[in-house]
Amino acid sequence: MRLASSRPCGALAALSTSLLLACGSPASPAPGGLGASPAPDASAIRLAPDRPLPDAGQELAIPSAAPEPAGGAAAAAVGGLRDRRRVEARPVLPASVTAAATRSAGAAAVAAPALTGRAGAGGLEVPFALVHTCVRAQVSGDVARVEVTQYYANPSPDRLEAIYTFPLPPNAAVTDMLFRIGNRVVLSEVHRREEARRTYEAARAAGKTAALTEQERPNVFTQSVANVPPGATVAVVLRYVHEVPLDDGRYLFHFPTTIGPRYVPGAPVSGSSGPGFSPDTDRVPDASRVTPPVVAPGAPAPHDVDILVRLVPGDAFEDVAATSHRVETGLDEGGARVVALAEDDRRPDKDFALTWRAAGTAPGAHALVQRERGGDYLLLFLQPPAHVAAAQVRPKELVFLLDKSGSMSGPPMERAKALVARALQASGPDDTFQIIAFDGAAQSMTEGSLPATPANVARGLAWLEQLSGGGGTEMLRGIEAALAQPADPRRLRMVVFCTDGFIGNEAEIIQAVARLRGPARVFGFGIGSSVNRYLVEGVGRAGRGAAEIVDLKESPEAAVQRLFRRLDRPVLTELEASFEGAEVKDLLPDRLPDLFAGQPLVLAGRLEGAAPHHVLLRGRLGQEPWSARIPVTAGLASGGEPVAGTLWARRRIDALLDASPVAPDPEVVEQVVATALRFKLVTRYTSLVAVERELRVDPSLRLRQAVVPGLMPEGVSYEGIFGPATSVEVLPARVKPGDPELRVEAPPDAAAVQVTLPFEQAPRDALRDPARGDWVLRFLVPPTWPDGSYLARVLVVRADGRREERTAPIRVDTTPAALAVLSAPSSVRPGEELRLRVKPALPASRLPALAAQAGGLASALKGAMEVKEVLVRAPWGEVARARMEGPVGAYAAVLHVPEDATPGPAGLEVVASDAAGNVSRRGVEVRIAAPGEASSGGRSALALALLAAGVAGAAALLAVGFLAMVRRRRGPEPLARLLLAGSLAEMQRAHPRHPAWARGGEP
Amino acid sequence: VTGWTIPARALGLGLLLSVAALGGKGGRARHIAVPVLVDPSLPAGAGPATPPTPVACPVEELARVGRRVTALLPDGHGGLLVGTFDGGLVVAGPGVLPPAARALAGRRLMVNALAAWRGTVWAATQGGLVALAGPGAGEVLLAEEAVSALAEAGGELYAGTGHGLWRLAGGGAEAVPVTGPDGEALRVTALAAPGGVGPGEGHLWIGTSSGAYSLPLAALAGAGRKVAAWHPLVFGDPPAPTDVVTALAVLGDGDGDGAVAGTDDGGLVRLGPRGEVVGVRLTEALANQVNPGAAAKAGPALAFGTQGGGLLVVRARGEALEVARPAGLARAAVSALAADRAGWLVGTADGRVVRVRCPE
Repeated sequence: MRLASSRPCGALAALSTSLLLACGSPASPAPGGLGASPAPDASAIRLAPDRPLPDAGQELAIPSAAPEPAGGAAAAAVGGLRDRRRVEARPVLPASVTAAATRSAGAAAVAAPALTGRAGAGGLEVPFALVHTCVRAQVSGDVARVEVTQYYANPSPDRLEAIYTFPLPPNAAVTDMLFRIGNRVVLSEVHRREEARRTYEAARAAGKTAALTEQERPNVFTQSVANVPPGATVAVVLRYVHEVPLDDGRYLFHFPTTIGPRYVPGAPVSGSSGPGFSPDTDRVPDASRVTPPVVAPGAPAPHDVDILVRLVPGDAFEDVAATSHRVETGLDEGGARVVALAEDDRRPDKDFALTWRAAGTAPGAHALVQRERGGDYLLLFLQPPAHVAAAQVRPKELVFLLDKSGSMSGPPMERAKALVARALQASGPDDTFQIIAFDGAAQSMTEGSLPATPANVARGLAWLEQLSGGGGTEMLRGIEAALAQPADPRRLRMVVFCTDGFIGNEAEIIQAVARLRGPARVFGFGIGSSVNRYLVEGVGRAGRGAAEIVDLKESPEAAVQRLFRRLDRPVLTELEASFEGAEVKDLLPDRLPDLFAGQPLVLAGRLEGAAPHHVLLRGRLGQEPWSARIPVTAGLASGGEPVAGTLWARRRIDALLDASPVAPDPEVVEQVVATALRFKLVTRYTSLVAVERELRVDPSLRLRQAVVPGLMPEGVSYEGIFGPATSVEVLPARVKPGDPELRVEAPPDAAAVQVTLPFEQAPRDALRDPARGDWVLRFLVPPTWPDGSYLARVLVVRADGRREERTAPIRVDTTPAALAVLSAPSSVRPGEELRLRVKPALPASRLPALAAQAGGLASALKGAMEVKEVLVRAPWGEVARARMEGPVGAYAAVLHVPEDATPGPAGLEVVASDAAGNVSRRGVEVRIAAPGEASSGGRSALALALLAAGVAGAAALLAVGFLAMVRRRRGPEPLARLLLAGSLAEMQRAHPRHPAWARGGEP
Repeated sequence: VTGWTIPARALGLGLLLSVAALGGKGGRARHIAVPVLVDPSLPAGAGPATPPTPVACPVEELARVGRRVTALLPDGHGGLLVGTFDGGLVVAGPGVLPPAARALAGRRLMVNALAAWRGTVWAATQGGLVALAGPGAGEVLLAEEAVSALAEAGGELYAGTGHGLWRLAGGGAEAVPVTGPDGEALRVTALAAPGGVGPGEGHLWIGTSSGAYSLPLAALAGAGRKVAAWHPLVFGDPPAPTDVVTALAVLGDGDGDGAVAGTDDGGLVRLGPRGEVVGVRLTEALANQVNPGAAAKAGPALAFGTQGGGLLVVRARGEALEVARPAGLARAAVSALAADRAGWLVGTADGRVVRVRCPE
């Protein structure tokens, strides 16, 4: 595919190549990519060499097409650093650096992730199409360049379309997408959204592998990948840039990993535009596109995330702290500080947040001037003086607006209550306060605001205490309740809006705040581990206040201190900026916001001539005129592709849409589209699409669609949002082809339950059983269906239109267990007891057939080893039921040899049956001794050998089970690394001349 | 590569855990098989497979209900009550569906068997035993049970569930405390009893997934524990390759000739009056899969419905069984059976109800 942009092909090619390898084959430096300047050490920072990129679709000579494993390169990169340390998530990281190198570079293992499913005879499973997300970010100065690589695997014999709705920071300017399949790299073009979708759908129908990146919200995107070939993995690379916000002296880099389930107001409309759990409604027409399915509680993480951030140069950053995750950090050979997620903290259920201070004295203003797309652009990072003379501090009317919807139930609600309580206690004697809580409706503590007297504060605390989370999120009613009350002319109304932001109608709320705010200032207080920052920051902007994010680990004390520091600061209003030494056009924001003293400001504009040497800010502080002349220093060179123009374009698009976020004028839309097409940006109206033109997947194969589920954000209650969780079981659990029953315990408001059985195309409706309150489907496994474990997919449709998906395994088993004899006498005398001990056996000859079964070897082994009953019949007609006994679980049967039994050989028939009714049979020969002849034992030696082998097998299986359990709890990395580490050594021995070893890295 | 040290530790820990697991009574290792090189298993079933004898039987279609038919009950007036797999009941021919049948929902739409007893029509469903018509219509007994089989024996109606045997009495259902010889509970999958025998004569035959059991009807009276005789199918001569009984019918007049069990995938098994067990395997795999409850008796002949192997008509010939198959239904999946004076009433998995008239 040819590029539509005007970017020089060579430059992009170099960038593309380098970034492709940043996650997948992290063994080489990348001058054009994230590690462009200064060039880091190859073994430490996994970036690619500068090489020309051929046209899209042409084969690339990339050393390894294998994507990075779960648990791979981030830790591997840190593994080769100086000053390597492991850091628990905490607010402050010691900045002192010790220089001792602890490991040689490139020692850690990197290899491909395992596929999560497998093709089975007659049954297909694609449990989770997305297997891994790799994030590489580089921060220089105030700008972050980020590359996100998503690995989509198709273990099925069908064509796969994967759809993944995922979050990004709300200020991210998504500039590029490409994908790699095998050795081929396909670049994207930017088009109008509907045109890009048409291109994608045509490619999908034609069997061409294609990728489409669409924006749903500024912080929610959808990645679609069509025609992932059977057995293949496609790596989709997304690139974005954003400004790194500075607040209260600290910079914050954040990367969201999951989308909190959104509450969608409005009446459902017919049809759905996306695969989400919510139907589209009249108020949120794209609700089904922003409500990706959520993994049920207790289920393993569907994929993992691996994040590595380079702070360049390392000595420009102080007090680096990861507040959300455990990380490993150190300095690389190039002097950059590298921060990587610890291996045991990669579950994608909370935002990654990394903060730091700039080393040394921060200048009042610094500029980044870059030439991009034929123009010069300026980014000006401005820090107005914090210690301006305070105007008379007016008393405040504090209105606490508390979201107590279902998603806030549990820890977020407790944290919000603690925060409000602390703020009440900290309010001044002249202040007044009001508390309004909302879920499906708004509820005020009192009719009007109360003076913050000790008695009233106590009353407020008591009222807070009785609040609990639950219900919908009719946020608009809360906003109206908070802002519609008559204003107190003596006090400045400050609305502190505490929410997780899990709603689908963000634009409506932001617009309502702007419309209703009057003289009040609204502060967005995002509470939780995966706050909807687009909403919270948008509310802060629209409300002329600010936004704060309080994660669940932060103390309310610190958050309240930050809030009051801000509330008590004087506000600069009616600000204007002018520049000395430069002519700046199209300055954004075109109307400067009010600023609390010390609050930073970022300006972007087109530059004519040289960079400014001073910026002059004029405005009012209270009623008095205020001005400041701030010298401008050159910003930190950020290296790589220029970004100032891109970030200006992103701001321009935001400015255009901010005026009417819900339904912008067609003229505005056209301006947005023109800007986005020029700068190759993803917006609501433009998308990136990439199509492989050369190779095709057989279009006659069935196209299977896999919607990637997300995890519930840490600390958020599943039941609080979705009600009681749905559970599904099939009874009997293991069946021969027959008629099992599938039972679904669905929430009470379930309106329909549909089940798609693995041997049928169309879903069936389960029956609601009023007597038991559950849903049931009786079905037949076809008579010739092969053994294996298959997934029935269950779709629960709630009364409000929300949808929830579950799966239940159907295990078809026609394989009986074989029997091994642990002990049996060689001979036994008439009148004596004959004691026979047997145990299920696993013949080696059965393993290939078991391995070929659908659903995995473990399930097949379990079926093949299972025994429900063992019967033994003697030639004299006696039938004995064996009973399990002893620590090894032997089945022991006792038979009684009649006194008149005829001496000589006697054949015992031993029959085992399993829960599915499968029967195996074997014979055991004993000898009836003649009178006077002694009885004798027989097979104990063999039994001991067999037992030892069985114990060894048990130990191995349990060890693997233990590792699998660890993997489930920690995410897949440790197991992958443990197992792959050995493979790496084997690979080194097998391929000693592979170029990867020569570079000191990994293949 | 230092990574090996970690798996070594992990494996060591796994070994320790395995030792702990081995020591525990409920330890998972107790259920792990012994690895062996050679499979010592013998064929699960023995004896020659015989093809059913084709017979020409006119087939007359009575109704199409569009769902898998699981139970049939003629009303004696030309009408036929048809129970389905998951769609409740319908009436074929003259007559109307009882109101109680129209009110069924949930698991009670999943019908397993039908019986008329003392003027009441009972439906055994996955959601209990429902009185459809007659005295007590609408009443539900054993509401928490999936009732798999019904049989009238000695003037009483017995119901079988996964929790045992039940007898309708005094407006309710009482548990009949029957166990096997080892005290094992009986999870009933099929029931059969002779008709037209005197009080206390004959046996109640009970099918389970662990073979068949029989109990003299005389022993069923009273409240004490009863021990049924066990007939494991897998030790027959020749043995059946399964112990799972899906359908049962009594041979001959009274039960002097024993009974025949249909199995899930092991064909038919003759259960002799003295405990003999004789497996009868058919040449086609699908003919060996007898559908649950698909058995009926008409005079000396029995009929069994199979999962794609047609309708099998069985008669005793001395110690052996003679198996014939109506040619018109050779490939049908026969999922329900009943008999009336005009022939066999056959319900199929594809929702047809037909009458088959075979020569005596």
